[in-house]
Formats: sequence, structure tokens, C-alpha cells
Amino acid sequence: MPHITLKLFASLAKSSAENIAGEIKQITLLENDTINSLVERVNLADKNLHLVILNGVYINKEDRPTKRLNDGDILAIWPPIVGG
Amino acid sequence: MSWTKKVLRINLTDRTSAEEPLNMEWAELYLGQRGLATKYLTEEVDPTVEPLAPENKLYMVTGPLTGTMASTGGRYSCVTKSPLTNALACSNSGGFFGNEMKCAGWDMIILEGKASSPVYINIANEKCEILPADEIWGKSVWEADEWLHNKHQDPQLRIAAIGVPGENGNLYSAIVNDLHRAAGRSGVGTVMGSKNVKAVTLRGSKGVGNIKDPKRFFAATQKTKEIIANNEMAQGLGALGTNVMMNHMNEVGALPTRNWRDSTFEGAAKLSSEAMMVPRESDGKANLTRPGACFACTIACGRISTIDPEHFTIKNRDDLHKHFKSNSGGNEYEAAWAFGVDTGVDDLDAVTYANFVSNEQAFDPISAGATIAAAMELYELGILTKEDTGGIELNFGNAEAMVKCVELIGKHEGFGKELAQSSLRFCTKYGRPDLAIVVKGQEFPAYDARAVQGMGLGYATSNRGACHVRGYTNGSETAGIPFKTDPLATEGKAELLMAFQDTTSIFDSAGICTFSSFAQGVEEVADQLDAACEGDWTAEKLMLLGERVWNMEREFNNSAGFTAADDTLPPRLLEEPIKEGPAKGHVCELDKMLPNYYEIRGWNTDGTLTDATRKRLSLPL
Repeated sequence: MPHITLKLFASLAKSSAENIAGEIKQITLLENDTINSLVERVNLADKNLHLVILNGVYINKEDRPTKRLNDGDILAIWPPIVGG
Repeated sequence: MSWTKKVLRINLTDRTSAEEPLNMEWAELYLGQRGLATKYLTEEVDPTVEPLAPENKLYMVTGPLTGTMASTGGRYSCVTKSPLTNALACSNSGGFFGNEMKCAGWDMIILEGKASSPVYINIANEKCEILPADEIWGKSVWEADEWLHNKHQDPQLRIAAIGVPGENGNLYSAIVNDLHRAAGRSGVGTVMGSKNVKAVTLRGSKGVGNIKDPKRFFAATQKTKEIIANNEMAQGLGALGTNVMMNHMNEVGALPTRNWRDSTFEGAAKLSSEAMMVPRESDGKANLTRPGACFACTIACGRISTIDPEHFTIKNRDDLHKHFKSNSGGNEYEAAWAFGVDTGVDDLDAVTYANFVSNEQAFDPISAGATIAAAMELYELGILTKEDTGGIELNFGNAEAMVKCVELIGKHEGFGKELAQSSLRFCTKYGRPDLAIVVKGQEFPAYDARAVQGMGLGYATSNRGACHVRGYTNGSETAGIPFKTDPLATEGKAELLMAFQDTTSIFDSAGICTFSSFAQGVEEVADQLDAACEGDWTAEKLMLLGERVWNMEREFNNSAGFTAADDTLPPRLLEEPIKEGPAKGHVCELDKMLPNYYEIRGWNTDGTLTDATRKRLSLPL
């Protein structure tokens, strides 16, 4: 089955030894899955998904409803973060 | 008001001190801290001065909001001419030293000349003593701190001190206050050491009560605190610290690795904020004990950490200061990157230990880590040998070797003396200056300019050499703050950078932390300043002031001998494309951004200011 790797960080993730590189979930893709449809399915739609990064590239908010996901994609998501 | 309007000028050569009024005309134009002290420097010090000569001066300076109830209002800066870069140095620190200076009644302390033997300066309100420091010369900051507290029998004494590196000319020595807060960059501690000053101790009991309109100031500061409290980024900084960027920069392929040979690090997660929170097997404790806040800070990005008691760095070590085996200042993103990622070391406790040493002995972890990383590359190329390193097998990823180098830098012994020269001089000695990842001699921080183009322009044009806190366009380019821009695009980056540079100049001149700018804007700063200080302070006036400060700094550097040719990047950034990840194939396209930057700055093509720019900014013609 086609699937993607979802990685959740900072306040979106549970702190544990397994999650130091993000809380990682393997999600089976449904037909025509987009970023937003997947996010809804994993109950993250009500969170502030500030940085949505697909295979290392940031995806604009307006593109997320139509951005199709493909087998093997890595989707990393952060709430608003900053460092220095 | 809000300024104390008093300056303490200390002549170390004569061992005298004198009070003088703050130049309020300059305060109106340059505000305080970074801006105001730089104005003093430009008026009092020849830009061509040898940085370690007695003629150079060291300004320890607060801003008008330092010591007030404004959130993050605990900042102070050290301003001087840098021995690392020969350009302007301005290093900013938190903790509790700045507010203590203000409470003692001083906006600024100026150190002039050179003492004939080691001294420390003890300031208690109006009283200023220049006292012998022979007993603590040769000691670490932590030992000196303890000795000074005991000597003055005052647990609330606030202390800023240098370590052994600063006494011995290490070019990236820092001034550490409150044990683990640092005016870290550009060798400000080296200048302090060159004057034979070990420490400045402060005790103030006056408070900061000279607020123009206390009721309005209370409302303005309360509003800002609410903004910060409700801001997710500020909350994230408190929870995870600055090191939350580690996994993120790795994910977007912009984490400079192994002296910038690579741009992603396979061991990044092991050094991350997330890893710092995981209980370890030995004692069940996490690396992170708790967040730490500076004076008046409502963000608390600081980290208080411990090292695993079973780790090789501290196990069975009776020679270490007690702080190594208890809570102390933990990893910020930059230190974790420099001692970890840049050297290819993925050992969190080794990196924490190295960071503790940099606090204990007061040296810049960025420059130190980056210099070790450059030496590692020379070693792997066979240019540097085991004979040169004193027997250290200096391969990337060797935690024991990294730790050994850090210890030698801290003690200023053996191979550490070589590394104390900084990466440019070190790599030049071995015939490969191209491997020193520096601008104007200062080592880069943790954002790959090939993958984050605006940061490259920022490094090239920063007035203190490569630096991330002079214009943090990464906030926009990869973190989407205040809005998202494409990190690989060059268009619009000159304008973005200029806005960041000028805004940062305001925060750095006001006495508050630049990290608060992630939540509050210039309007909020203006509201607080206008309620606290005489004069009319608006956002528009502050933006012009920020631009003025930036251009004044540029004028100083130009007069010191810098030209447009110095606004460049190392060849690796301009010629060696990133090997993998989202930015694969990219170099930093500085040439596409720099001409536009000069144009919008109002500079000539040779990097000098036009007279029209000077006039517009009320700078001397």
C-alpha cells in the first residue's frame, strides 16, 4: 500500500526517546490524498500547522488543499517556531 | 528619563574613575546600548586603532529599557573594536548584569587605557574601586566568580569576567556574566584581557524609578507581556529553547555540517531540543532540567542542563569545577551546532560539556567550534598532522577529540593556543584560508547560506562579521516569521535583510532582547519608550534610528579600512553547490543581491555612504 511518513515536531509531538527526530507515523495513502485531507484524517486540522514541509520544501497554506501526496513522501510539520 | 544620564569613565592606566553626564543629544539620535556606545566609540576611538592597544576602549552599556519592567529588559552590550575582525564589535548579553548596572546608577561604563597589573573593578552605586586581581588572574570565570562573592561577602554581587583565554589573547574570548550568560562574539573578552581587567563587579541599590509616565509605562509593558504570553513562538522558545531549530534546519537541508562540506547531519536529532528532554538511562534525568530566564524576561529561552554522570567527560573527574556535575547553562542552538554538527559530533553530553567549558572559561562557542571543525577538515586532508595536534586524532565525529580541543582552548595550552588564533589565521597558517568559513574573520553561525540566500547577504554585510543576530532573515525564509519567503530566491532579499537589520538595531539599542521581536513589533517598543523616556518616540522615528545605527557602524568599518571587497563569502559558499536535499545544486548567489542592497542602503558601489544618505540619517558629513 502506498504510504507517507508523517513527522510531527515541537508541541505537536509527544516527548520520548523514540521521537527525537519527530513523532513519526506511517500513514497509508488514500486515493487523491492531499496534505489537507491527510491532516484532517489524523486529527490535526484544528492545530496551527505553521510549517508544513514536504520532502524538505515548504508548502504554502493556499496550496495545501490541492497538493497531492505520493508514495514515499516525507511530510514534516511544525507549529510556529523560532530560534537564533 | 529612564536613562540614568550618568557615565562612569575608568582610566585603567592612572587607576582613576570619574562620573560624567550622558550625552543626551546622542541619546536622542542613537537611543542607548548598541547605538549610543557605538556613537561614543566613533567619536573617541581612532577606527584604525590596534584593537589590543591601550588606546582602544571597551564600553559596557545599557539601554533605556534595561532594568525596567519591560519584558526582556535585562540586556547590556560590550562595544569595542574587535581583535578578531578589526571591525566594530558589539556583543549583547542578558542575565542580571545590565539591570544591576542601571540600579547602580550608570547607563554606561567606559574602560580606557591599560592597567599595569591585573585588576578588577568593584562598583557599588557611586563607589568605584580598582582593585588587585592577582589572586584570580589565571583562574576560570567560575573560580573568579566564587572568589569575588566570598571576598565581598555579598551573594547578590553581579559579576562579568573573562577566563584564561581572555587573559592570553585568544581572539574569540567572551565576557561572561552570571556564570553562563555571555557577551560572546568578536573577542570583546580579549579586549578586556588586554587591559588587564579580570572582572567588573556590580552592586546597585537604587532601582530604576525615573520613568516619565509610570502609569502609561505600566500599561504599555503589560500589553507587550500579554502579546508575548499569547505568542506561540515565544511559548515554543520557553518550552524548547533556540535549539528547536536543529531538526528544522536539518529537514530543510540548511544545516551546515562538517565545516560546511555537507548541509544535512545524520546525527542532528541526537543534539536537538527534543533529545534534551528525554530521560537518560543512568540517573533517569533529562539533559534539560528547566528553562532559564534573564532579568524581566517573560520568554525564558535559556536552558539549564546537566551532563550524564556516566559520560566520559565528567565520570571519575575530580579536577572539574563543581558546576560540571550540577545544573548549569545548557545548549543553545548555536553552541549545539558548532560543537556538534560542524564537527560532526552527535554526542549530546560531549556538546553540553563543551558548552559548559565555554562558559567556565569565557570563549565564543561558535568561533571555537567552527575553528575546531576547520582544523578537522585540514586533518582529514592530511595537511594537519597528529604531530601538529599534539597527538589528537582530529577526525570529524570524534567526540573525545572535540572535547580535548575545547579543554585546551579553555586552558590556553598546547594545541589550544593554535586554535585560539581563530579559523582564518589557523587555516592561513596551513595554506588553506579558503577552508575558514568566515566573513571579515568571524566564523559563521548555523544557517547554510546556499540554502537560505538572505542569510548569505546578511553574513556578507554584517557590521561585525558573519552573524545571525544582525539580520535574522531565516526567520522569514525558513520559519515563516513574520511572513514566509522562498529561502532559495534572491529577489527581494536585500529589502528583507535591510528591514531585519534596522529593526534589530532598535531592539539592541533599547535594552530589550531581540528575541522579543518575534512577538512584539517596533510600535510596541515605541509605546514603551515613549512612556518611559523624555522626547517623543514613534515607530517611524525608531526605524530611522535603526537605519542610522547601521550606517554609523558601516562608516566606522569603512574608516577602519574595510571596503566593498570585504562584503563577500568564503569560496565554499559561492562555488561549491550543496550536494543533497532540497537545496541541492545551489550556491549562494550573492552577486544577485549585493548591488541591490547597496542601492537601497543609499551607498555608492564601493560600499561607502553617499552624502545624501548621511544627510538623510543626520550622520556627520
